[in-house]
Amino acid sequence: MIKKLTAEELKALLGELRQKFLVIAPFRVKQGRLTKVLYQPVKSEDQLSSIYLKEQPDASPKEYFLPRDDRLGEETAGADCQPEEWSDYPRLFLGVRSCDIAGIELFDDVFTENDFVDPFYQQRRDNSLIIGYSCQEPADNSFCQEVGINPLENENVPLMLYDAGEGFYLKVQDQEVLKRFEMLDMIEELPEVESSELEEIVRENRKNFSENEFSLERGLPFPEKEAFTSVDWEEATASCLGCGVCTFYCPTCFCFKFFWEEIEKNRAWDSCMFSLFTAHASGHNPRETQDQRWRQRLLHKFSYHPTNYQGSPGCVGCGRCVSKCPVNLDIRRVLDRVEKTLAGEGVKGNES
Amino acid sequence: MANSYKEITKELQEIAAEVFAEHEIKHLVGFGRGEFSGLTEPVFLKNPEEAERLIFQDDAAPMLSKYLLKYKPDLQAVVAKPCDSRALAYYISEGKISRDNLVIIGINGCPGIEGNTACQECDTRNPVIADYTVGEEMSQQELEAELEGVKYLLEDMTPAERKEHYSREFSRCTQCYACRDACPVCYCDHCYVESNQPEWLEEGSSADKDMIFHLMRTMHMPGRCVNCGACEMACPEGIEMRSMTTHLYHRAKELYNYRPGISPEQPTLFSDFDKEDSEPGFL
Repeated sequence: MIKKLTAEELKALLGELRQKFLVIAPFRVKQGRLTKVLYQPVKSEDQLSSIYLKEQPDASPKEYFLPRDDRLGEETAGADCQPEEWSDYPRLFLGVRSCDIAGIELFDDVFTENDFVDPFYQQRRDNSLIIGYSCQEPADNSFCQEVGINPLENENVPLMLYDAGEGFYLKVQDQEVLKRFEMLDMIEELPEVESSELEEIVRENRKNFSENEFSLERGLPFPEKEAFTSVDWEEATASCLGCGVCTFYCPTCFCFKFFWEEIEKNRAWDSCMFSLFTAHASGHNPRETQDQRWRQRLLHKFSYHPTNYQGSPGCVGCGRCVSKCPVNLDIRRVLDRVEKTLAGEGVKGNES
Repeated sequence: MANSYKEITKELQEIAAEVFAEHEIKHLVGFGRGEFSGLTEPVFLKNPEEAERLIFQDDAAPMLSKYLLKYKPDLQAVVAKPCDSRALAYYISEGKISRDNLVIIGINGCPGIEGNTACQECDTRNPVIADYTVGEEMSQQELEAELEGVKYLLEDMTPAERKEHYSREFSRCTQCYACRDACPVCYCDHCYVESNQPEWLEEGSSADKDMIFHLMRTMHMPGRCVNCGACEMACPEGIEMRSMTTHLYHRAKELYNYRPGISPEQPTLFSDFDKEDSEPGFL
């Protein structure tokens, strides 16, 4: 089912949805010398006109699912402490691109896996409805198609929004979810169009995603042992300063640490790029140097994660780690080095 | 006059070949163009054939001096912006690295870095130490004319206004520590933020803790910060990091006529204490 709506109609729909949801959408925000695009809650009707969908947001909506500082409850509540402190008010995320949708799916794999369900993550996830957004052109430094992501279409969200220049198309992909959130009626009221109209737009936009200079030749996962030992990691990552920017901005990096504030247990973002990440109480650190930490980050995404999750990459190719890096260290260059080294050593790959 | 990026790039490529011919260096640390990103990134050249990879652009923000500490005591060549040359002079004055292990290619008349507010108040446009230089030197007269009437960040604010500004800016901190990692004089092997016995900085990211991190980092900066702006350029949250350190820089300059890293022989600010020194406090 495909609906067509003008910008005004989209705004009216969002206005209506605000009665049911906390709507979270990308906005342009000034931060010191930077102007960024960030997901922020829509606080008033007026703000709906300022929603900015044209560019890839600077950060994925990660922090709304795994907050930077997550209060997990008081120790005295025992091991089965449940998330109850924060509201279960449903949230609607507008304009999430395929790379960031894939990031959330990766969290689903990790945090709601059979016997290891994280109730804090799950509650936030169950309360969230995502309206996807079809990219019109590639973001800077992105390589999503190389990791199997389709920037133009995504069937894993109930609704997908397409910018048609004048107005928008809304593709309904999962009516059950819309029923659950009691919003199917609202959508059904909108005028329906033939799918060929939308297909034409997607076909046009696809032309902008033709050739990428970078390509991943080798299928995933990378062979763990060979990549670990044969690549000159120091040479490939010599410029890394050891900050955590790449991991904090990564839509798939989820590592965290626990700490206590008096009797309250907390969890906060951590990063494999930090020396403390692997420091032992004894003083020994199994990853003593920065290149070893880089090796871990890259192989987690391209070897360990795909090994554990049916070949699914741990990187969504959004390019933020490159754009945000203070020294512009490019993961594509390091991947290229890994592939060339493995090819040079005659290590056979999986079929790409 | 400031030189153009294009001229500097051309001269750098020529001189790099000379440097390889005249010195047995481990590598030459400079700037190159990212193969896929097209962005300027630090490169470590191993042989003269790579000389043409060297570039200098308005986004060459990182301080290359910092990498030299990682590979010392090997003989290394480095492309040094004037601020980088000051960081190097400072390292030498503190005994962090030996002058004999450095081949410095200094950039004269540095045209500055796009978006770096430090460049607008820069008082060192030629390298303070160098073995080779590229570009025309900028005259003292010209430099003074450019600095005429330039105010440093928050110069005219009262301490109360400044505090409010700092609180607002630092509230965006995510504790990624990119500022510290990009800073040429933040070179401690063991930073206080990574100390857990004692735990100087408690875990967590409340506004108070963010402020503690920045205040403690700033406390280590008087008489050391060369006012290069690398901290601010590295910050992904656009925090106006320099608004605090530049104040210390200019106070040390006004009160003690002290600028860090002006010469390798210069004593450090705190080791150069004189009982006649005025002590109005830093705020």
